[in-house]
Amino acid sequence: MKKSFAVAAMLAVLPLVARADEAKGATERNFLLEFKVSPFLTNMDNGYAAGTGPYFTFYGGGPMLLAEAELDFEVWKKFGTISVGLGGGYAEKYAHAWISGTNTRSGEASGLHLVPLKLLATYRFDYLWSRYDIPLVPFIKGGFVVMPWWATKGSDIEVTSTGLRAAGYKSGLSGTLGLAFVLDVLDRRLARDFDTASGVNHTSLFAEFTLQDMGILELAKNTKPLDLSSQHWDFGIAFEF
Amino acid sequence: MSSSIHLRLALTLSLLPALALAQTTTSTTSTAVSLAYPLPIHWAGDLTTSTKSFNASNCNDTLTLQWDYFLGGISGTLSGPMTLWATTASTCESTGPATGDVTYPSVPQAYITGTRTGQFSVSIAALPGFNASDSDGGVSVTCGETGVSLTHLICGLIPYYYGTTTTQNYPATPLTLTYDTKPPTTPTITSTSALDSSATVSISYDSDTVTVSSQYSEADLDGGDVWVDGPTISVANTSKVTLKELTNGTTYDVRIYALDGAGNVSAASDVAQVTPVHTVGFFESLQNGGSTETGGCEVSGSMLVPLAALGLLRALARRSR
Repeated sequence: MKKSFAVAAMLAVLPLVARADEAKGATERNFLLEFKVSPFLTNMDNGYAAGTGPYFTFYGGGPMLLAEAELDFEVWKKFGTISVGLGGGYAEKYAHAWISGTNTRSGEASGLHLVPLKLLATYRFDYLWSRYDIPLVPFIKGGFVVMPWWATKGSDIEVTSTGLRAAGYKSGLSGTLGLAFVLDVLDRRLARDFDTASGVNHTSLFAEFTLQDMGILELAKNTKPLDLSSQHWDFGIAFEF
Repeated sequence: MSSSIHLRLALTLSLLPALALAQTTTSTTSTAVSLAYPLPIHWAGDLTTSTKSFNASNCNDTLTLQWDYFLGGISGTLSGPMTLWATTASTCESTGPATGDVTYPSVPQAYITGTRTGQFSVSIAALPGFNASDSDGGVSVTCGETGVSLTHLICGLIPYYYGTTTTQNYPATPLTLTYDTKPPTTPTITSTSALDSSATVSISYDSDTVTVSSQYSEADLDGGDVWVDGPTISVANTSKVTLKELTNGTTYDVRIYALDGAGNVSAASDVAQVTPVHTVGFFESLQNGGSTETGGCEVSGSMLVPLAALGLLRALARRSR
């Protein structure tokens, strides 16, 4: 009985400490722009014995560095924020090509290049921040991914001795869970000035984990395709304006 | 979308190129240099050129040069005509031409401030260094002589009032004309790298070298080498020459030549040999590992979903306006 009374009392007090939904004088917010990087490793070595996959054999197993940007348009701002957006990124990895029939590397570099392009829907639970000043914003994203890729040898797109050109794209789905920390809480005056000067309402640092399944249809067609699916972490900064 | 949203979007996007600002500043420096000096003299064929080299084949040529006066660059009032002259001295004299220098028609004061640009002709054969009687500092060579490097400066100055009555001379930024019939030092092939149907040749060269040309030939041909011209590269960008469209497994002789700004060609370098080999890049390695990936850009069924979603997004955006 005492417990339920305490909970009821706390819930009654919460709105009193809540601040106004948007600070007085804050500009309208409609977009969110993210810049992020990720140690990016695809699943192309899945299905091979450890240390024998094509990526590990050629590039040594270290991850690629994926840099991405994403622009979201906020379409619903009530209990949290729903937005739709577009994202794009780039990753590359280089190693020297093998001299044919040997285990010796040549002087010729061979690169793998990936350009993930995304169409995303996002829900950000920013109610705790906007109502109670708690600077943590969990979010979830889902979307479609198209990923052009190409491999180079020297300065040109690689063409195999059987005439295959090393370029194509994969398409698939992605799902993301993340948590953002709103930096405004560290210096509210600076955040307000930034908003007044450039229209940026909030700035956040965030981490997110993405499951990306590429080649939904292609995987069924090929026994060992180039699998660009991934499970990866991203770390970045976001500007809401 | 309100105009304020547009404004804020534009402001935010305008922050994005901030990282590139330093690069932009650097790339405009060459223009800014001209403005920093109120009176530069250029070669009229390329106004960014303040040094020009020529060789024995240019002895009968006449160069057209251009001066530019940037208004406000000199604080004070001009007090006389501009004097233009050529000298073999290492710097332009601050008081005007010395004995032995070749002078060109002066430019009236009104023309300098009115038109602020003008051209004049310089005969190569009449430059002071090519006339013993007009020699400046004892320098005299014959135009056409080989193995020589001789530098002339094309100078100018404008007198102006410093205070009310005292005058001073404002010097122009000179044009450097170099008669150069001295070939660059013979370049060296430091290493070769065999690539797939091609080869890279690393080179070293002296500071006089501007471009490097290459030749290659199949080695061990009966009757000697049949040299084929390879690419010519500017050493400002790279110190490697890449030979393309070679045959894997065939050994090639390679040699290079250095060329300076006046077009003088060095002797051929020592011959190096290289044998292109078939190399296996990532994709072929993937194929060799049993992958059935074929690449290609055909539109698969899964593409239709994001394309439809894009259309929906566009319709939503229109509706929100």
